[in-house]
Amino acid sequence: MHPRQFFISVGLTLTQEWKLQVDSQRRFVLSLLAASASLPWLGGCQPTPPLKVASHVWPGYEFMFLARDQGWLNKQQVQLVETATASDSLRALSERQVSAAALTLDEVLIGRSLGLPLQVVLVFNISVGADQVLARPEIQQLADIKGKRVGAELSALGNLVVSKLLSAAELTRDDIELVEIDANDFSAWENQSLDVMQTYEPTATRIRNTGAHLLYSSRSFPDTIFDVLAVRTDALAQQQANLKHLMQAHFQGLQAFRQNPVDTNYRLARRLGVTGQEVMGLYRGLQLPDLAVNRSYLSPPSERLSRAVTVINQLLVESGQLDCSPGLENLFTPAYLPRK
Amino acid sequence: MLLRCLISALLILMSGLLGAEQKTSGYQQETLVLGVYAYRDKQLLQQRFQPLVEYLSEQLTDQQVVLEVLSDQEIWSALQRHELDFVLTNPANYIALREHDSLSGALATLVRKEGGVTVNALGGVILQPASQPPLTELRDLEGKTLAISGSRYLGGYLAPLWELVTAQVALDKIHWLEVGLPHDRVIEALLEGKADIGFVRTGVLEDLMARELLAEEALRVLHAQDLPGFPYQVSTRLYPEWPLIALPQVEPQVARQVAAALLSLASDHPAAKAASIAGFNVPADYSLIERVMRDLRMEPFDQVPEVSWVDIWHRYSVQILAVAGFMLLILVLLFLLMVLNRRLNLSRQHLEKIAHYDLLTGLPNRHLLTQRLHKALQIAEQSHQQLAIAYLDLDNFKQLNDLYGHRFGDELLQSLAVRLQTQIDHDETLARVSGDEFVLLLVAEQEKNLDCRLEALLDLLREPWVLSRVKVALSASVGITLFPADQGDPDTLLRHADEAMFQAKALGKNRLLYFDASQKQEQQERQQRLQRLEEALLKQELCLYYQPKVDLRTQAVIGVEALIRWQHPEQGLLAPGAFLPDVEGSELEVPLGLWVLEQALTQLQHWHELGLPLAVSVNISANHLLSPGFVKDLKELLQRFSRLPAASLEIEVLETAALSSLDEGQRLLEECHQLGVQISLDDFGTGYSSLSYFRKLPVDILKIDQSFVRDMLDDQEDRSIVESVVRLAAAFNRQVIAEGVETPQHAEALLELGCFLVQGYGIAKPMPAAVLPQWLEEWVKNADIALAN
Repeated sequence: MHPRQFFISVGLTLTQEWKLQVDSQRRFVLSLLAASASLPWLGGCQPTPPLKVASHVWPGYEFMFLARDQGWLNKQQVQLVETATASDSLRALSERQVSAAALTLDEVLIGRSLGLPLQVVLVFNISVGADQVLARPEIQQLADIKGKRVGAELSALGNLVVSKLLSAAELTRDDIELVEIDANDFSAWENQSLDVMQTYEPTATRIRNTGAHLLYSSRSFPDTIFDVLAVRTDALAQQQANLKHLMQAHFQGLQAFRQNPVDTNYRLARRLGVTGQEVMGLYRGLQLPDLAVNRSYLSPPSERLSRAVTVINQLLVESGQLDCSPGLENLFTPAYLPRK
Repeated sequence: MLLRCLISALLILMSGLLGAEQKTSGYQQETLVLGVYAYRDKQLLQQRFQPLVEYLSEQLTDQQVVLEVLSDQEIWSALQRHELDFVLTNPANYIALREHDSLSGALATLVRKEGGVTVNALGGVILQPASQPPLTELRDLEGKTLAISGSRYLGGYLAPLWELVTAQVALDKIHWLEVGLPHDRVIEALLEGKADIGFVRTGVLEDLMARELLAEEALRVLHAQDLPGFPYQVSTRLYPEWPLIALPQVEPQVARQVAAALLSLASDHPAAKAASIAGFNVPADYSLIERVMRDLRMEPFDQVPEVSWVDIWHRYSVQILAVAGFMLLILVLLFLLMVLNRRLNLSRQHLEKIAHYDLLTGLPNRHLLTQRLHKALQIAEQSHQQLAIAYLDLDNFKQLNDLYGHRFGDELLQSLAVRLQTQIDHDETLARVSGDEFVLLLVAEQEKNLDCRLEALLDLLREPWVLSRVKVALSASVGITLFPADQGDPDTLLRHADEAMFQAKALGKNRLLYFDASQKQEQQERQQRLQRLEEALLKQELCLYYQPKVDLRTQAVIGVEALIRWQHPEQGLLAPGAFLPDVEGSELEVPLGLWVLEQALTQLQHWHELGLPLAVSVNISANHLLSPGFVKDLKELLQRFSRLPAASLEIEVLETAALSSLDEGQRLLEECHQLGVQISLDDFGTGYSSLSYFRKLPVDILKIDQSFVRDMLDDQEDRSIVESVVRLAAAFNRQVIAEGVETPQHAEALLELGCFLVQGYGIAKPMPAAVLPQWLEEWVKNADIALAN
């Protein structure tokens, strides 16, 4: 589906959903009243449904899948739902197919602006070069992109990278020919005869192998692209234990990666679509914060994340993807991080 | 001074010489030995690694490197002899080596090259002959024969073993078959059917296939892992490749040069190609392997240190201290609780003692006495025993106390208690109930015996007491009551004994006195009757009957005597004899007298209104007459009935009453007389009034007692008395009236003697007020006949 179409459809679903929600809230109150008498003995024996988490393939998210494949993730507690793109994940969230999703921070902000009650509970990674702009060999400097065909995703992230690129090159959107592509689509590079393409790993490695070179990357704007786990706040109360379990599994995967990289590399390779030897390269542009750093990121006043949110908000408003800056209150919480 | 200079010069010379020697040795061409672990055929490895050794020798300026391919045993011997400077060996060996000599460190990690693919990891392969049915789970390995090269290899033993442990396979159910190096032997064992399963390191399988020594389909890989990019089949997780280790004796700068040479070895360098490696990487993290070895208790971690108490203490000191502290706390608390409990118990005992025993003498107190008495009464009732309750009070204790002081008094009481105690049986009680009062609760077989015992007791008391050098004599008064003769609860019995004791005191102290139970009984009954009478007064069960008085000369009715009757609801009409004796001396006497007076006057007024000008006489008891306020009450009554002439009321006073208090009686009668009331002296002749006294009394009428009148017809003496009274009255100018006139003969006789006023059954019996007018009517008609009869 076209990303724009997606936003329209999400908008529609959301309006319908509000009505439903109001209705279901009323129904909820009624059922609460009706069930209040039977609560004491119902509470103990009703099992919590597993936490469903949407995620597309992205190196930073892979430790959840590693944990699942290694049997560290209890299927009764957490189910991972594989999606193709972040947009799919966002839609699954809005349609309540999942309660949590791995997203970039800007996608979370868009979700919130559309009325999704999202809260960030975990930082998977910070992009320090993983988000890249590749160019044909003849384009040597940033300024050379003027008048060239630049392929980019028109998602929040794509817009963010393009905006950063243009401001670094001291150009405007009118100075380039912007072609809308799927940043994960390797074939777009050849089929669309692009001069420049915004992309990310692992597709970036594949395109570079054809001779393209790195023109610009998120290394130029660190602390801006955060990949996070966002959870619907209306599911938090019920899913608290499952959420903790998921994060524990993620950190266990991260620890395995650090302790025995030679083994973990090969185990991550299958989903990332590369060989074990190439896996390490995909993580070169990523910072993978451990538990302690996560805690410092998410604990109030969570300065670094808030600063990033301000920057992203501004860009999103400028590019017309957001009407106004959504509130920051309760956006981040360290409350569900595991103790150790 | 000279000597000192000489010595220092000598020292300087010596140190210079030594330094020179050290320097010259440093410049010698050194030979470094690289030991390579022979995991394959020695010659093959020698060929493969010789170029690498030559490459290193080239890179090092002052050192020559030589190669030694050594078996497991050889490597260890060489290491012990310090013959090796560098070792290239498998990671498990490296960990063991580091345990033996902890300064050994990995300089670089080998990167292999397999068919153009670089491999920096190794693992294990679990193999099964393809001819056998496939095993789906690792657990199925239990009971099988498993071939291994040896237990010191990572890929060929540790890695697969760790997978088995993770899958919770019972290792002791596996039959291990150690076939030795090289790994090819494991495969031979499998193909020859000597083993069901075999462990080899990664790469061995592919190598044999490449050399066409093994058919591809001959063996099956169990627990195969899907690891994209890894060129070998693998059943386990992967571990870092072989490290190249520098031993501690290698100088750091040499080690640095070797490391630099290794890391800078390009994969296309002939030396690398010859060794079929891609080069070397920075050393990997081998700690994971160490952990696996420790968990699997591999050599050198196979010796479990003996756990001593010291170890336990070191490890759990905090917990042990906490538990000990907690237990100590509990012990302390328990101890405190015990102490507290003991104290409580003691104070309870003390309280009980205070509550039941007298502190001075240790004897039971009144409280305990009452309890024991209660019990004793029950027992006595059941066993028909007689109980004596003796109340003993010292006669002169207060004086002794005042004279010699309280301390002396206390001492006396204590020794008294001791002395009395000797006289008491075990089932009897001696109690001190207050100051100098004691109670003995005795089982009395016979009253006589009891008397003896108590007398003996008193005698004992009377014996001289020598206390604090003071010699005193004591006596006591004892009141006794006996159960069951005296029925009552413990308190009543004690009170009775107490009363008897008081009586004994009143009778002059120093004696025994028994409580009279029957007297007490009568008193109680009288009290009850009085109570009933008081009720009767309130309920108006009492009434007045009237007996006419007649003048025999004229047959005129001169008046009536008011006589009280009790219309008892159960016993019928009662004469005054049935209840007035009880009233005498009681509180009811005055109210009853006043009631009669008032009743009589009311009736009299009624008759006067009917035109019957009668007079009424009312009997006034001595107590009533002498009670304070009698005259005042009488005066008020007369004022209320002021229409009646005062003289129409006559009060009859017993001669004995008038005599009992001579002056007072006379004065009161005077006062009554002054109110205009007539006074008659009732039952005259039964008292002993002297004539002089009689003369002074303001009496209007003498009333001859009916006992004289009744018998005067037969008894001359009585007749003389009647005659004397009549004369006496005449002599003192008093009227005289005879009562008890039962027959006309009596009337005739009295008339003869000059006594004209009479009353009695012969005239009329007492009658209710309502009947009187009719009787009067009939009397007027038939008086003659009546008297004549």
